[in-house]
Amino acid sequence: MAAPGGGEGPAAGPAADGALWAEVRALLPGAEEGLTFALSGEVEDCILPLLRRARGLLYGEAGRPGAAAAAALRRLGDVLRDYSWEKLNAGPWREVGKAWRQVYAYGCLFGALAEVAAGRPLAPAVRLCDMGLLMGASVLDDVLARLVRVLQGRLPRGKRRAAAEGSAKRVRIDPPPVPVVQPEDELPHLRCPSLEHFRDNYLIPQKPVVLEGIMDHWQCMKKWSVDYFRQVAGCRTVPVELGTRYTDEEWSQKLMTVSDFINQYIVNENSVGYLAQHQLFDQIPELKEDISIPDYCCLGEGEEDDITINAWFGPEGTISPLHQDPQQNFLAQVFGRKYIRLCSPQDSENLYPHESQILHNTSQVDVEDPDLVKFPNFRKATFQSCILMPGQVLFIPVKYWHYVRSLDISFSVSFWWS
Amino acid sequence: AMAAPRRAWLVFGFSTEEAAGELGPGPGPRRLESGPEGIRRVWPAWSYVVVETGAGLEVRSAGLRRRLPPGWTEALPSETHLVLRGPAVARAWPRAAALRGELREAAAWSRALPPLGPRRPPPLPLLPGGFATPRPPFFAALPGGVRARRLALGQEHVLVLGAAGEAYAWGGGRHGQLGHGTLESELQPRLVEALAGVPMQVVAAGGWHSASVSGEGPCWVQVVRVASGKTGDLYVWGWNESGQLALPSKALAEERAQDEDPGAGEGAVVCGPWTTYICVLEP
Repeated sequence: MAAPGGGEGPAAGPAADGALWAEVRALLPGAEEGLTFALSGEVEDCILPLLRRARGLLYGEAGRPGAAAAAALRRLGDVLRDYSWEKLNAGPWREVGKAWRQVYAYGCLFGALAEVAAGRPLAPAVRLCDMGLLMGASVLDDVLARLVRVLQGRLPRGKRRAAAEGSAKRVRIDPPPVPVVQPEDELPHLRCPSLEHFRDNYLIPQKPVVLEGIMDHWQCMKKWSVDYFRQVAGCRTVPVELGTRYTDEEWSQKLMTVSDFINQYIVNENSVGYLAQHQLFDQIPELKEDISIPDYCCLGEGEEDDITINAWFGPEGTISPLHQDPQQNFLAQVFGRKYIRLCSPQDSENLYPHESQILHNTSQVDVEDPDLVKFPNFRKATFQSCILMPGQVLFIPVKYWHYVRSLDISFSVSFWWS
Repeated sequence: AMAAPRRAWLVFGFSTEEAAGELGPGPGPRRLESGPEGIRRVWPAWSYVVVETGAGLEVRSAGLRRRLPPGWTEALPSETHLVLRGPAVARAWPRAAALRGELREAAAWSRALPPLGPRRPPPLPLLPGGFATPRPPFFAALPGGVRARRLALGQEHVLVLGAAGEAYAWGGGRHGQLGHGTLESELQPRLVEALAGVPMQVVAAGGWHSASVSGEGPCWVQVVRVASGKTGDLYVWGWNESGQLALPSKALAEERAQDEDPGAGEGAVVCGPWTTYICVLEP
């Protein structure tokens, strides 16, 4: 991110190339014996020879792998990733052995190093680091996070203006009107309540509330914009949800860079894409400095490290169907507005949750267009609503049903705590 | 009298050299080396393959060929173990011992088999009462009611060829390997409807893909017809990451499978985790 002053980007040429390799090489143990694989568990016999072989190629030649060694290292990275990828995709994620995720991370590391050693463009290497961060497990003291910082700093800076390709926004035939929140449905709004007041009136009775004023000093309120993310994170690979809602059959997830996401789904909006429920602040730790953990989280039982922080970045029109989560939630709105409807867990039997295990936390009913013939008891459910504005934080008690639709290009940060 | 046609094998996809970290010969097709009697059967794992020559079973990995002791007739290899079947017993050894050909060491598993009847028993993984797996627990009973002529194992799924040439698939389904038209898993054997009405001769399974060969004319279904021969057509379906479907993939430039005659049905196509072996009859 810190590019040399002025101009389009970092200097190119062999001197810079050599300097980059030196900087990258310094992230690794000095000698081959220092790179112990230390896998947290068992992997199959065929893997260790491949890891050793890759290590040998890396340390073999004086200082830096030559063309042939880099090509062989690249191929080994491919094989390690492909083999461990199958293990990562066999069975449920929670049952995947950590050792296999580490092998995958090594595959990404060797692949990225091969790109750098061969002097090739850095974007694929950055993508490999991100794949290792997203799907792998930490190796060599989080080397991938350190490596991606170095590489990101050497990439050309992102364009400041909108994307060159087709910036015509899709013209909506009939944009849905901004929903009206009836006064009787409106959630209470409180400005900077004391810890005790919040605990006694909202946390303990498990009542939702909109908190104001608590984000005022967060740097994100001044710094964050679509362009800011393009600059700071444009080259980074993130998971994007495609399709209007996750209950639809055509819904899918796709990995793409933040720039591509912004170009295809924020600026152009041909179809819905949502960078949703992603721990972006673990992947790009610098962004974490722009936000804070709400003080009220200290009222919880867990450690601060156990709080899950997710980013929610998308165009106007993203929809999260009515669902419940197993933890308390602070939903902080940074830019854009979100229309939110809330329903108490006491009304659960009127909300017709899906039967299947995977969607059991999600209602079958479309909150803004309920089929009352199919779901007659839905009319008995009581809802509260709000339009969450930038600078406001919504407290969603654990298991409280919530429906969310963005009214603008929107960025929210959620904090899941217990 | 004319000599019996010699069986040769072509392989597409990942090589055992690459599995050892060496440069490979490319994704294929390549011909397996053999002596004058040819190679009768192949049983591929990821980093090694067991072949049956005229002289018995042989383990092949990068740069290594080891004859196994006589008496073993069939193999079921994996990256953790090798299962072998003999006339009276089936056993499993850890991969390392198997690659060294050291089968006198204690087996990881052993199961006595009933004496052979007049008819040749169905091949591995089928065993009397169920089927073998190349990793613990090494044996599973076959769910009720399915009369299996042949059985093939993927990483997460099982294919069975029934008595009338119908195919069943069950197990993990997230890569489309079950051929039921969804990505759902199945706990019990379920008929592959897409192939109904076309009797199959052979079923085969790779890690996350499946293949079968019919005995009759072409049938366009939700699978891809890869090669067409005199006696039947080759169908493949599932994941194509390493070119194992012999279709253009990220590993292949523009190589397509040659129109090879798959030969008589039995053993005509065999899938390894990242490979497909096709048997050709040479005059």
